[in-house]
Amino acid sequence: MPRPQDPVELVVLSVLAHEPLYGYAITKRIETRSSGELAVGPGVLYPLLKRLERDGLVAATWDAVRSDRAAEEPSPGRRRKWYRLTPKGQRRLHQHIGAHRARVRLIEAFIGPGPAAQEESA
Amino acid sequence: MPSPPTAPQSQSPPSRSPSPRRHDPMPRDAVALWLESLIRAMRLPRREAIEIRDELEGHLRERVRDLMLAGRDEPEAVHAAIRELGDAALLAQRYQAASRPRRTMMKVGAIAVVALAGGLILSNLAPSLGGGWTVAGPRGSVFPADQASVADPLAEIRVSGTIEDTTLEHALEFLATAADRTLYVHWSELEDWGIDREIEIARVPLPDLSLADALDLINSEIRSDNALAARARGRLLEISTQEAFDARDRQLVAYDLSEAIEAGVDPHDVSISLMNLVEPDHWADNGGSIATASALGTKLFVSAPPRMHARIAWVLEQLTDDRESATDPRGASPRAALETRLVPLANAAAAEVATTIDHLLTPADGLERVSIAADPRSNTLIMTGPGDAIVRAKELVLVLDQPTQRRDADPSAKHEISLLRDRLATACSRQMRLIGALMITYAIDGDRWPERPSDLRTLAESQGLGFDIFIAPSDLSPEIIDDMNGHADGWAWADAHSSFEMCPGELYRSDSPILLEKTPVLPDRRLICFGDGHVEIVAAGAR
Repeated sequence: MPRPQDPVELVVLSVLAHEPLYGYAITKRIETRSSGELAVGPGVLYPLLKRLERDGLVAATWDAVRSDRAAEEPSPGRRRKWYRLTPKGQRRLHQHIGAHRARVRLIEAFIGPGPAAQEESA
Repeated sequence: MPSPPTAPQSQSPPSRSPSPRRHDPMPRDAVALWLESLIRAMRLPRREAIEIRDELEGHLRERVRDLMLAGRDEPEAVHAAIRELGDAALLAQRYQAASRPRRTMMKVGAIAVVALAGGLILSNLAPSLGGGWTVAGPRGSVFPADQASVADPLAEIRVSGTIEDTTLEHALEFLATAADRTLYVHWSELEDWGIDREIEIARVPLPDLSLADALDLINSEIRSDNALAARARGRLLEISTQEAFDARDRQLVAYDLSEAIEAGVDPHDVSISLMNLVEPDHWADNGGSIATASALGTKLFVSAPPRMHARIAWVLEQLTDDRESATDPRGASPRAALETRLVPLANAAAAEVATTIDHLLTPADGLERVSIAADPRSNTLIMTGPGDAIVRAKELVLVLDQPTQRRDADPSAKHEISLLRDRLATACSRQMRLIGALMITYAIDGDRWPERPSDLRTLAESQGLGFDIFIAPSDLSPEIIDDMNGHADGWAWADAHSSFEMCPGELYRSDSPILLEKTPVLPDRRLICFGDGHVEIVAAGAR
């Protein structure tokens, strides 16, 4: 069942909307894009990826890991699972964004827009 | 899939670390042991378990390397990386839950045995209990069986034949044909549970079974427990998951706890008790996704499907009754006893009548203490309150359950709905449906909206509806909008909070799927519904 209010799902789908990534790279990307403010722990991330894969929101493929020293040579026996967003996942992401913005508008009706929005309108 | 891009991180294994400790075997052993305990705890197919192990091993490898580059020594880095992943058994549970279609809820039908403060437990329901009334005895009470299993229309519909060597899609079509019903399958919801229309079904014999039993057999055949659920509404047979039906039927009810609080009961204890007593798996606080409860002041707000509300109301009644008995040594209640009554409706939709009645209950009417829930499957109202208030509420229900004039009864009739900006979308929808105009209302949750326009058309036609106007969720995808613009005279949509906005002509289309942001509000428009079912949107002042 979809969980439109799940912020972690929204964040992970957003990150994968830009490019295919593997699990550890997703955690790093989230940290980088949030300037270190947000961290999704692996104990949450990997089961979430499993569920997203089960629900058809992401598709996964395995690829051999290539070592640093010989970029063209795969490291024997080591592989990574890469995730990419499916069309269904893109639709889900759009739903998330819509629901999120509707919530923000609702709250802003009470507390007023943030400083950034005020600067824009000024 | 094209080759993935080069990863931003390098992939040096921990063994290439700057200062490995030759005499400390702990790190590698710790990783191996942790992975082993994870795999053991997971009851997944071997191939799946190995994939998870490989993925997490890769994660640990990279995490250890990064921590060591940040200055930690290897054993410390390994322990930190494992600690981030958490307890192996807990992680295994999360993986288990995420790896397969989640199981649906327990079937309602078992007798709930509830022990409250006094610790009284009754294990059998007296066979003489009937009519849907709660029974309060000197030593305790039992949730009535016929309230637990409101008459299920699926049990009354019989099917015969054999389903053989076919797909799930065709099997369901066969079932609907055998039951002489029009079928509508919420495939998008089923697909969310990993149930595909192409699932193969070898053989399911149906020797004059009820529809409910036939569905159980199909569930068993596709090995998804009770994932498929059905609902009969008139001639329409809907198939989805029980969770989806429950989510759609959720009602927010405010329960008054003032008497319990006066008697010294902590409202938070009440909500915790409810979460333990009434279908515990479905509460958000217990990891479920169906029901939530919040105690605010003297009110307990509960969002849950109607069948849970019936149980919740009963539990709360027991709480109050229990307190009254405790404060009155003679056992005589100072107030009239609360009663519960089931009222099946013949014409109106139970959920709508429940909403209307709820709005009508005022202290002046003496009806304020009636709690009402609707069971859409049986189109039945479940009312709980003092006896006299119940009788008056039932009179009101019978008035609202009168047959309404349907479309084509009076083609020249004209009804105008004005002040649209001030009306709730659902109220507007209800008025339109009463006069037979098309109205299909979906919540903002896009997954409840048929993914394909053809599904929507099938749904509309199966309900005998026209195709003039839709209330759409505000986040429809551009593709669907594009396709559907060809079928409508005007558009209206409800936002997440049920305000009502509309514009004539084509639905505004942009590259953004978020219509609400892009669409101008046109407050000067009015919606006019005609008796033949068509709807016009006109400028204010026009006739």
